[in-house]
Amino acid sequence: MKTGTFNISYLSLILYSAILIIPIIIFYYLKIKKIKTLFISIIRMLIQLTFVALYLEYIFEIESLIVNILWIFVMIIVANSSILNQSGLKIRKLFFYTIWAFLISIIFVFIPLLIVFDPKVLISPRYMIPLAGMILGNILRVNIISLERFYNALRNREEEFIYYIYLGASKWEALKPFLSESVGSAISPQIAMISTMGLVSLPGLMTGQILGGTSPVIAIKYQVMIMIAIFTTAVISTFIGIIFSVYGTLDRFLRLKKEVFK
Amino acid sequence: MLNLVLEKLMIKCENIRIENDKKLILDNVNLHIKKGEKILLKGESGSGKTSLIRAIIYFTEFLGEIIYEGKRIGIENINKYRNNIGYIGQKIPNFNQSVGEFLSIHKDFKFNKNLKLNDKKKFELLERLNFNESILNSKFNVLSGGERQRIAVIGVLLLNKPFYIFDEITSALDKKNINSLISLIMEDEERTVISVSHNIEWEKYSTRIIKMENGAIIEDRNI
Repeated sequence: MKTGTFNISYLSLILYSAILIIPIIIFYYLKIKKIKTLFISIIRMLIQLTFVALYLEYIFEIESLIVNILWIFVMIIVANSSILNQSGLKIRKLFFYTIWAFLISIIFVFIPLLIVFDPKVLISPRYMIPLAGMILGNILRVNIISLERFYNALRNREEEFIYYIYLGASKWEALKPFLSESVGSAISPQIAMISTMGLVSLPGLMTGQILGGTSPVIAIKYQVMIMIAIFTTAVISTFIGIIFSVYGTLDRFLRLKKEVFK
Repeated sequence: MLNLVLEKLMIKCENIRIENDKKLILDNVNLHIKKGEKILLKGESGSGKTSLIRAIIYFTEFLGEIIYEGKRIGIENINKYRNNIGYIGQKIPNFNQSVGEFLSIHKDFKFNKNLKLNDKKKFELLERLNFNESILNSKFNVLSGGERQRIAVIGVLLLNKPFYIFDEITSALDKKNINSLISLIMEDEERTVISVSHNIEWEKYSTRIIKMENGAIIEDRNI
């Protein structure tokens, strides 16, 4: 079996990018004013990925656990800000509440990976960084949904919350229906994704490994492991993410603070 | 005269002021409520009725003080204060289980752990509001708006609080049901009630009518 990945030339990559003309025509026709945003996003992606590539080359070379952890920490900071921003909350007001939730979720899922990997393997940047990256990417997606749902529901149906409080509920008892709704709605696409795995989508990790020359049987084992990790993180992080955020969004009288919303 | 002396002050709202985006919502409202009073709060939409209610239940930011049975309400006694109050707002909660379960929600809350409620009271209240017992098995969310309002009232009356606050809870009811509901709420002499409503039927059962306009009380009379 041939190992190693076929290298793509820069020229061919640029030429291939020409297919973007099709979405642009559709945008133009449907008057979707996203063409500028699309270009900005693509340029951002190019810059970010270039930096990451350079940085990864560097950390793969120095193999330092501290540098790995610092890099993951940076990823968590970026994820946290992005989650708050995209779910309609003010980063400045809630940053230090939700960051702990994502940090804890990562730790809870990462440490048991020692059952699967030899510690030396796990802490090597080639394993640690991509695994953390995949888990964090998923944290990003599910938490944007769950936080947005949670606060939309709480703002639109505050009277329901008040009703429970005046029926004798504690803060958490009254928030529980909202919590279960939003965690549930963020999680159900995850379950659907697991059940259609391999049929509808060939996941990125597996694709990458197969392209890299790994045998599909090994690739599958990795995929199952990462799905379990991703799902567990999704549930833990959405659950505690909301709980931690509540400390910053409700005042001591259980009133929603207006200034935390964008 | 003797009666007046015996009338016990239950709650004092002192200089309640609410500003929202520099717009004055409540303009230093003062309101003293005696135990057992049945107050109808009326006024045009936007006159500040709901804001005043929200201040009393401590679910809006405001300046001023709420004094309940001689004690100023603050963070240290807010829970105790809230436990004296039964409240229903304009929106009745979504609840996708049966009416029977809706009427038992309070059992899920630790605070009510030692509360012993007998079903007799529940059946009696259902009957008083013209419900058949079979309603208990219906899904709460499929009921009409008016039915949900009446069931919600049963839910809070079961807990038998000394002080009830209702915000437009008869908006979806017909005349017959309005009367049975209001008389059920108002018949207990000890019970203190504030009700916001546009509905004239409440006047018959109220002991005091307060009218608001532009964030202030413009009329306050006993009946």
